[in-house]
Amino acid sequence: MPDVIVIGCGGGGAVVDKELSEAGAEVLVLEAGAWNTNLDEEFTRQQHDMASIIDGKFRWGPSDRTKPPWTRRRDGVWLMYQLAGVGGTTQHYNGISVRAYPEAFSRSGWPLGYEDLVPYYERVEAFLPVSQPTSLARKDEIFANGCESVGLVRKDSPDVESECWRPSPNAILPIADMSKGLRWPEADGCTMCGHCLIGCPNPIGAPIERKAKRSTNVSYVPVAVATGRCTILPNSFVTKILTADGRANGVRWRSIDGEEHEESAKVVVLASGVVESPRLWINSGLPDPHEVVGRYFTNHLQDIVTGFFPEEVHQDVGQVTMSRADFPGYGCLFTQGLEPQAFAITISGSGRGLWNDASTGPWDTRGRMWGEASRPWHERYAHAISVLVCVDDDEDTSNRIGVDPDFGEDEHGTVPLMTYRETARSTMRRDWLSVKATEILRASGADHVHRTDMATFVSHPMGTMRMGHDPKTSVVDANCESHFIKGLFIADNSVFANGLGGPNPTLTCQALATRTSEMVLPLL
Amino acid sequence: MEPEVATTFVAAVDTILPASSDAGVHARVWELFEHAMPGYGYMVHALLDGFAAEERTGASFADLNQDERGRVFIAMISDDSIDVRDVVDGLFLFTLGQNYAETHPDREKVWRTIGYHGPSEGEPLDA
Repeated sequence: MPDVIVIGCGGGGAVVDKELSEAGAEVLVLEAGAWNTNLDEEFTRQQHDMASIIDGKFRWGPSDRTKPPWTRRRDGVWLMYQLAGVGGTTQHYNGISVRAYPEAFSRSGWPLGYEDLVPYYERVEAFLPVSQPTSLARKDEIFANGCESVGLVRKDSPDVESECWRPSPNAILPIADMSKGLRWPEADGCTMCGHCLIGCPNPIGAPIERKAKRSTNVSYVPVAVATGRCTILPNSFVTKILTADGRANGVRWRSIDGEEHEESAKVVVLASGVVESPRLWINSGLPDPHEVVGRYFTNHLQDIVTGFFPEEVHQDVGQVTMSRADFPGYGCLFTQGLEPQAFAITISGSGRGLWNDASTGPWDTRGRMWGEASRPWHERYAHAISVLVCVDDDEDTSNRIGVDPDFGEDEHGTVPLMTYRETARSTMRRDWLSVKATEILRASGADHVHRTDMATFVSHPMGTMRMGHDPKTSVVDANCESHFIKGLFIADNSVFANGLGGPNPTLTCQALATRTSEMVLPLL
Repeated sequence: MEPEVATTFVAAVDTILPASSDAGVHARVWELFEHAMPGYGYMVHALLDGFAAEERTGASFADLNQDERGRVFIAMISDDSIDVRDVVDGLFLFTLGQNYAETHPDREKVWRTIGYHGPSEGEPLDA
């Protein structure tokens, strides 16, 4: 019998795997999706093959891609980018590893202070490692110049108290010396290929633990497996958390062949993500006396503003994000180098309205560019810089993940239903940041600025199983252990008490997971 | 895909980005809908024709001109049902994606035209 079962091997679960197995615990990891271990072959750097939400390797669905993706019902959500597999969503993230804004911890709900988390941030930053690039790609230089032109000052402190710009702290190895070749061992580090979003296999030939972007499948997982005490079972979808006398004592899961299995453990760590963690809780029939499970679903309410420049700026070169601007109280902006498929969808396929809706801001066009008039804009791909807007989104109790019994069950139980409505304050912040992005792009020399006015796209889900002292407003306590089921911990973005003020969530998830591992150890 | 269904998908993808069907994008879009959920492609066809008949009595989606098809998209994307809105969103997402992804039969030319380097092992900054 393992000491611990960890459900999910993504951004948070993999941290627990490594921390506990290094400390001597026997860890069984159950991951719903595939485990890609030969990245040179499997991460093809092809846009559709990797990123299609329907049949790509990075989708929320079974590893057998001849089968449909798994079902999620949505209400008020246009699209959610979530993927199964060892490494979870860190396989496709930009690698951005920034801390929360300290002021977000003083606001509401958090049972710990920012200063309590700093030692754990430092541990994760040292392990991955996280660093700011010493050279910027063209798109990021231009954005940085625009920031300076509108009066933003560069600040490199990881603790952001006031507005600033900075080279983005990324969990990406430093830029490689490519003078002797692009493959390992001649190149050791980031080769600036621009493929972060569709999976990083570079440098080609490098052992998995030397791949440039530090997704958990190339960073935490190899260390956990090397202990000899961590067993990872991919294609294993957990359908029930087992309990006895108010304690978690095991799980039931379904393997890819449809067989059901059960295993017991002293402790269960739930790290399935913001949608699946509450879904599994509900489908397991676990107690929720105050109906708080699944609530406070928060999402950074994103938008994209794109500047078109007279000269070529080559958004496909460099790490996807190398420059960012922070605005505590509002959120943040960062460059987003896109491949052509994602770029076309960004400016033509993801707006709330259709062609050039009535513009009420400083941008030139807004909405979805489509029809014949859109092609010239697609063909200015090499002249475009897109800036992603990430809002300090309000946490709202009516925004939630539940299940949809009217729709019915799939092979893993009643399907999840996500419900989201933005608050007026979140809308105001999104508009403010979009105006700011437009100012920066114009100051950088853009001759045309397009605001996508993006429909509700969820790529930074947070909340739903929030931590706190009060069981009436939280699911887990200050140690991330359930208020009502002992021996059941949670280690993913769902425990956040709010949206961190707007910064990208992965580093905070990993810092909390490191801390939670320490809380688990005394129980083993 | 039956001919009348193919005609609807050709009209839809060419409304979003003209000449998409020349590269077979309509067939790939159909396949993606069907892969998401068997039978979904037929539902897309039926919904487009249903909304088209409200735009112009007795007309199919393929019968409409560009402006009329645009109004059908607007009507559908304003619908109360997320399932109807998803049809338009899916058509946009898949049509645009298939015009610029590696599945395009003339991908090297498409990428060269817009200035994309394609799958890359590395891009030295001083190159």
